[in-house]
Amino acid sequence: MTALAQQSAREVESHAISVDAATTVAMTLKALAEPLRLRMLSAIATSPAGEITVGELASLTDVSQPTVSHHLKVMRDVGLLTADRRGTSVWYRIKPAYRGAVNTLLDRFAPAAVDVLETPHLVGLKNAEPALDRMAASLTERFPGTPPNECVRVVRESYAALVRRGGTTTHLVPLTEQFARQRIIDAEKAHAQESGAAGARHLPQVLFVCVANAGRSQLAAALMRHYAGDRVVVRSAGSAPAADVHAGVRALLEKLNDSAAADAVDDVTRFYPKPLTDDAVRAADVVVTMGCGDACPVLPGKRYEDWMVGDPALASPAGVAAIRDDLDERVRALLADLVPQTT
Amino acid sequence: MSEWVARDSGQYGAVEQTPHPALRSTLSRGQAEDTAAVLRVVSDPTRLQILSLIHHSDEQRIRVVDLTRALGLRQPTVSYHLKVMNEAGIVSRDPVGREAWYTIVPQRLDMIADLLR
Repeated sequence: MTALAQQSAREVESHAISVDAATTVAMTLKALAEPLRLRMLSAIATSPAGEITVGELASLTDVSQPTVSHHLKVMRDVGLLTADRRGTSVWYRIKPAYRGAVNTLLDRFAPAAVDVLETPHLVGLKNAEPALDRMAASLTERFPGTPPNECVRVVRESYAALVRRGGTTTHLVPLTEQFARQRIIDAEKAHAQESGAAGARHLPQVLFVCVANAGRSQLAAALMRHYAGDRVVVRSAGSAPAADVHAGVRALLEKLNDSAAADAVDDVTRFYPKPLTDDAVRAADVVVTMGCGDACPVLPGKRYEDWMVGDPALASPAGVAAIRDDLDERVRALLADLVPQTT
Repeated sequence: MSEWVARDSGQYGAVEQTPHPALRSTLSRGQAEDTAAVLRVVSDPTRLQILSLIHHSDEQRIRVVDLTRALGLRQPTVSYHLKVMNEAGIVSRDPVGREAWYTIVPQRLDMIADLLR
C-alpha cells in the first residue's frame, strides 16, 4: 500500500463512526427494533399534543396495559422517552433531543425499510449497473484478446439472459461473471479454431444441452468432469433454462463435484441453469443433446449425439438414480472415445 | 415517499404531501414489523461500523480485508455480518475477479446515512 493510500485509509477510519458511538447508537436502535414499540412511538409522535397516556396507547395498539408499560420502560431506559405524572395519569413524550431523529426514523427510514422488504427482487436489478461495468473492466484486463466493447456486450447479454430465467436474483452478479467469463473463453477458443490457430495443447470440449439445464445436462456435465478431470473441457446449457437446478439433482451434483468447489468463485456459482449460446456450440467439439429437439444449432465440423435419457424433473428418487446410472455409462463411453488412452 | 403517503391516505383520509408532524398517520402493524426487521439487522455496533466505513470510503465500496484491518476483527466475523446485511438487502456484494466488493444498496443509502448522522 502506498503512503497516500495509507493516509486515505486512516482518514476514512477517522471519519467513520467510533466504537463508542456505534455502541450507543446500536443500543438505541435495538430498543426500537420491535414492532410494538415502533407503533407506540409513532402514536406518540402523531398525537396532537405530542404526548399520550398508557391507557390511550393500550387501546391504540390493542395490547394490555402491563405490556405497554414494559415497552415504554425499555424506551425510557435508553433515553428516548420522558414520563410526566399529572393527576392520576402518566403522560409519555419523546425527549426533545430525539425528536428530530424519531421524525427521520418514522418519515424516512420506515418507508425505506418497508420498501426493502416489499421489493427485494428489484434490489439486485437496479443495483447491478456499476457491478456490471466493473465486471466488464476486469474481464477486459484478463482477456486482452477480446476487445473491451465485446466484453461489455457479453457481460450485458449474459446478465439479461440470466435475468430472463426468472426466479431469485440474489446471486445474479456472481453468476453473470462466471457465465460471461466462460463465454469469452469459448469465443476466443472458437475464433482460434476457425482461423486455424488452435494451440498444440487442444483439449476436447463437450457441450451437454437439454431444455432446462436443471437436470440431465447438469448431471452429465458433472459426471464428465468427475471422470475426465482436466482432460476434457465441459460445458452445459439449456434451450429454455430454468431458474434453478432441480432439487433432486442438486444433491447428486454436490456429491460428484467436491473437487470443483475450489475453482468456483462461490458455492452458488457451481451449478446454475444457463442459456444455450452460439459461442458454446462453436467452441465445442462434441455436442450432446438430450430432449431439446432442434433448438440446438447444427454447425459443420461438430460431432453431434442425441441421448434418449429420462427427465429427472419428472422422475421419482429411484428414477433419478436410474437416470444417473444411464448417464454415467454414456459419459464413460464418450470419454473413452475422446481420450482413448484411458478407460 | 409519495408512495408511502398514497398508501396511507386511503386509510386515514387525505394527507398533505409534507404533513405536519401531528397530522402524520401512525405506522400500521405491517409497516412497523418491516421497519423493526431492518432495525434488528442494523442495531449492532459492528454492523454500524461496517456501514459507516463503506459510507465514508472513497468509492463507497469496500473489501473484507479493508474491514478486518480497520476494525481489528477476524475475517469470519466480518464476513458473517456482511452476509446478514446482504440477505436483508442492505449491502450488496459484487465480485471483481477474485475479490468481492461490498456497497450499500443505493436505495438504502439515505436511510443508512440517516442512522449514521
